[in-house]
Amino acid sequence: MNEPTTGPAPSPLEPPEPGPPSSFRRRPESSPGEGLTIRDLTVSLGGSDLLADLDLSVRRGEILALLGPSGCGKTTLLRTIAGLQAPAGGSVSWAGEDQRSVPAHRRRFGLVFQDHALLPHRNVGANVAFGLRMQKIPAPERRRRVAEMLHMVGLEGYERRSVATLSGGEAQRVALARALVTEPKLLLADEPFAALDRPLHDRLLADVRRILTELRQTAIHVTHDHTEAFAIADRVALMRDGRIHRTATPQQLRDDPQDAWTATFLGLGTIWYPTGGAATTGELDTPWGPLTLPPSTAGKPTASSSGDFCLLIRPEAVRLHRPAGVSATVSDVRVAGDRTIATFHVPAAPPVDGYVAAGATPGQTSTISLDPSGVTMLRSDAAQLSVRFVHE
Amino acid sequence: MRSRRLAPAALAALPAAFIGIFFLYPLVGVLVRSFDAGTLLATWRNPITADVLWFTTWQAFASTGLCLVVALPTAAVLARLRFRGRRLVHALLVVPFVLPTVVVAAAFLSLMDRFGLADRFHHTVWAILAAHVFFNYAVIARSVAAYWSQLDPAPEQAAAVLGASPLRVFGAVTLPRLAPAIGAVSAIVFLFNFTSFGVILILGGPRRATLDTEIWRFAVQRLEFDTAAALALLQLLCVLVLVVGATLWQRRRHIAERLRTDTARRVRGSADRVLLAGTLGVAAAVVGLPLAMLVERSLRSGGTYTLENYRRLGQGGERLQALFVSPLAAIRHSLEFAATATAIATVGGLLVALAVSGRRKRGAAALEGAFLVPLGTSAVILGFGMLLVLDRPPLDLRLSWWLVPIAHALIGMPFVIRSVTPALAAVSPRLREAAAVLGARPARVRREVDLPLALRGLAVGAGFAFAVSLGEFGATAFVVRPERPTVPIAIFRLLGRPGEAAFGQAMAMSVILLVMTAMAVLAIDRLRPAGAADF
Amino acid sequence: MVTHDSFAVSEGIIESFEESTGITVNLLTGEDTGSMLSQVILTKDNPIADVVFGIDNTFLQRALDEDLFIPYRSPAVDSVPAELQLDPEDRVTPIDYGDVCVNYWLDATDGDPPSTLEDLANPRHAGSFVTQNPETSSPGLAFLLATVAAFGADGWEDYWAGLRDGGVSVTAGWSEAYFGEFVAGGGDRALVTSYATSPVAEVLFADPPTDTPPTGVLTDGCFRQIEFAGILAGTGNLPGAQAFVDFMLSDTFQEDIPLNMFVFPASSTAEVPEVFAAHAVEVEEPLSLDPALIAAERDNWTRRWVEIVLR
Repeated sequence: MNEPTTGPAPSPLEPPEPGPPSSFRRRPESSPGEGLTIRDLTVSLGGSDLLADLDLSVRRGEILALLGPSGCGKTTLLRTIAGLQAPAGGSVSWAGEDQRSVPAHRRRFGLVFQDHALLPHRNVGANVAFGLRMQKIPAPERRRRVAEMLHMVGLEGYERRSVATLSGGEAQRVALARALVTEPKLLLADEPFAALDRPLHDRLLADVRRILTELRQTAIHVTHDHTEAFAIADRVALMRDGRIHRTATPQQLRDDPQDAWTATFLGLGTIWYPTGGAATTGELDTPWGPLTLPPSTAGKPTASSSGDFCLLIRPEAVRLHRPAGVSATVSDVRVAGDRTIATFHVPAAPPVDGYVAAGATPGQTSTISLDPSGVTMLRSDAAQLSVRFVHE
Repeated sequence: MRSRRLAPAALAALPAAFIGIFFLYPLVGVLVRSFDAGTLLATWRNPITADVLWFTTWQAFASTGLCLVVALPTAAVLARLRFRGRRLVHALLVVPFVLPTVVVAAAFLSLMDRFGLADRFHHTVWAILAAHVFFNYAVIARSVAAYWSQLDPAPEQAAAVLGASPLRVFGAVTLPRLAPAIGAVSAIVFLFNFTSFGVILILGGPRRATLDTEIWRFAVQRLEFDTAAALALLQLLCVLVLVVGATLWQRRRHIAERLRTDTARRVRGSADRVLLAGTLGVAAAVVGLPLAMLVERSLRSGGTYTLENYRRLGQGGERLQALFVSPLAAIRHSLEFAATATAIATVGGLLVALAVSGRRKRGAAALEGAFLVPLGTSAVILGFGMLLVLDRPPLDLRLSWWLVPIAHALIGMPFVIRSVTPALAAVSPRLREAAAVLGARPARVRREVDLPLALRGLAVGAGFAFAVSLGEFGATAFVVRPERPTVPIAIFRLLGRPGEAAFGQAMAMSVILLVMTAMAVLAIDRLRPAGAADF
Repeated sequence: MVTHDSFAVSEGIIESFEESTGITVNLLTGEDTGSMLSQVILTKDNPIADVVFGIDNTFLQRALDEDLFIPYRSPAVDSVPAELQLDPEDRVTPIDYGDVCVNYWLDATDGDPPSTLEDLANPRHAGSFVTQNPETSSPGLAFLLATVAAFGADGWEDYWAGLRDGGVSVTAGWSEAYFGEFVAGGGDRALVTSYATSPVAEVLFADPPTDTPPTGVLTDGCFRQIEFAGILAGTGNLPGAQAFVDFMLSDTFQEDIPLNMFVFPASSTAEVPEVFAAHAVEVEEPLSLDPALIAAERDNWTRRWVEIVLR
């Protein structure tokens, strides 16, 4: 029941001015020591491993996005870090100290639940103050810090509101404030924005990124949405089937997804598996015409025979109106941001997306060719590439 | 996390010891003392026993079913609609629960007399069923309403938007969601009806017998303790089967819900008004009319309407020697016993509920079920057992003041457990985890998360525990000291001798009992915090 | 002392005993005579009390069979009429007696109440008699025993068949009969099984006050109930128990009995209060049965009674 809020609601979308109140101390500029380190972590449930030999580390002050498809174990990993789930093996340590024997309530990690998990019998202020009460912070300081925190998340004066009257975005901010106000060593956020509409999602994302950065808050942000991960994180840990598949910056992931699964999951473009002869020369025949593989693929696994590698064809690779090219039929013209994308169909080839000028119509025929700069050579991952990722 | 699984079991240790010492030990003691294998076989094989068992069982099922049909609409209105006098209706509903059967019988008969139905009603099964509905209506309506009002109405709204009629919505969405609460309270009501005693004897007439009336007859009229023990054992077995079955059934139906504090909304539109009026009409017919007859009778004296009966109660003096003490003292005793019994039942019941909630293990189900068994046990047998085994230091309680509140607490505790468990089971584990991550120790989590969300159920349960204690007669008569009579005992003593004044005073005393109960329940309801104003 | 729930005594009586002897009296009650006796029997290994009071002649033999008592002959027993002393071994001491008789509501019998048990079965009283189930009620049992005593082992069954055909109503207990179906409580039955002393209570507890009871007593076919006290074997205070039995036969206690328990004192030296003497009906020839016979046949009689009247 996300009822519209009433009363003098401060606009939740405007960043509060001026910056963060003084009491929320920034973490030191250069955090000494290590942050979170996870080694060989295994979590089992009912005989099957939800997480298997998982390694991950997060530096202090870093925002790490944990990105993966639904069901890959992200939430389990988060709950294990928080101490809500007992691991079958491996270790979770903070600053070099093993946390296995530390119960959840002593870890001082903050957790933002996907469904907020606000206490329904307490108002906004009491929800935010909960952790401070557990730390036996005196009431006057508690009130001040709650007020400052609510101000920071754009909910100034919401203390006495019942949580049942909050909108989804407001509830999310309260959940965030509740976790942040205790100055946790590590903030864990579990798909906190999944249920929000796009503009709110984007604004909140920016706000959170700003707040976390200002506080130099170490954080793990779980999401299945790569745009969200890229927007908020310093580094992204890509998770797949209970393991960390790869950890890299958003830039690295986007420019060099390295394998077909990653490229598909990130929605970077169309994957094409060469069927023809060897490609040792760097020249390749494709349904879209001959292609000279870019030099950047050097050092990649040798594409000595077909099946070992594949090509990522990004939208920017698809060029129209070249004299040399193949004839393709246009379908699915849609607006993406400030550009227009269309899908091109060529016989005996997967459809590829490319940018078109506004005004393109489905059914029309265009001549297209591929520009090598938009093509990336990847490790083939055919065996594990399942259809479900295509929908992600 | 695994190591802390021990904590819930430890929580239940105190209440488990309580029921072990004050229920199990006396029960086993009296059964062992009176057991005879030959009599047992002969009694169990006797076709009359089979008849009695059959009647006991089917009337209990029929009474419980009828009670559900009558009480669920009331629960719906109490849960979903906010109207002037809601709390008062909530409290008044409990009142029948405490009335002595003989008083209720008198009220029923004079009511039926008004409609010219007395002859066709008296000493029939219908009289039994009607009395059981009268007594237990509130138990179902209040307990279910307490849980219902905490349920998020969104799923119902979703179903309605999808095109389901209100009846479909109730059947397909609401009823399954209410199943935990309905199952929990139905078990209580069933046990009450299963061990029904006064209603059967007085309204059912001399031709009808239940296991409980037969146990009583053999134990205290024929003094055939071996037969009484054989029947008590049969009763215990039936109750165990039922309790285990019901508890298992109920546990499978626990659903995590996003509990609210109160989802009732203002009455709006004519549909709401019709529903409200209809429900209040039913409540007035079921509970109000017999009570009105009682109040009317208490005001009648010497052929006119006067407060004479009440005035005489206030006087005390020679004419109330039957009581040993003044009526005011009886009221004071009742309140002292009830306060003590409620305290024991509430604390014990809450501990048990916390220990078993959210655990699907069989042990938890058995524990929860065990606390129901006293409800299904003959008061005579339990009374004998207490006098038999609690006879030596350190538990030489036969002359003790404590025996009464202890016996009452045994009966009150299941109400607390059953009112609290569904709410606790529905609390989302996420809330507990959220509190834990924010630094709350497990015990603190219970205090900060479980307890507040269970408060509504706890208030209902405590109210019933109080009412049970105020109204209990069967066990009280066995263990109470004559110079400390409770109000029901006083009513019985007044009704034990001829004279119109005695009868009128008994009626007046019953009305006082009603008012006491309503006020106590209102007060207990008030104890619960309103909404979320705690920052 | 353990007793039944009808036990009542004026303020100061027991206190006077406590003051003169230094013995503290603790009272315990069972729900009724049967449950009290059950308690005593079940706890006889570690008696719940020193003295039991209220066992009547319908339960007497059963209690004697259980070897519950230490014999004691109080000096005061000499003032008790011999016909009340049912146990030659003095294991129990008679304290009071009363008669279970059919009562009638004067205004509802057209000035022509039944005068004999046979008359009660007359069709002109059809539909106006309510009695109690002898399986669940003490006066109900007493009235059944009265009919057995009056009509003999051969005749009582036919008599009850006649009452059944006359539409006798049966309730579980005395209160339901007297206040539920008898005219006194607003019912429509003019005849009820109660006590010869009930009219006293009708005067004492009249509303408005009156000097004339609205009820009368059918003095034919009354069954005499005698209540006994006994000292329980295993008592830890034999002298105290004996002193209390003596006290119960003292004039102080005996003269307090009538207006509290509505029965006659056993001691012939006790003076009965005026209002009691005026309205309590003295039954000239009460019926009785040998306690041993009652103990032996009681279950058979009640079983036959159920078959005749209820089935």
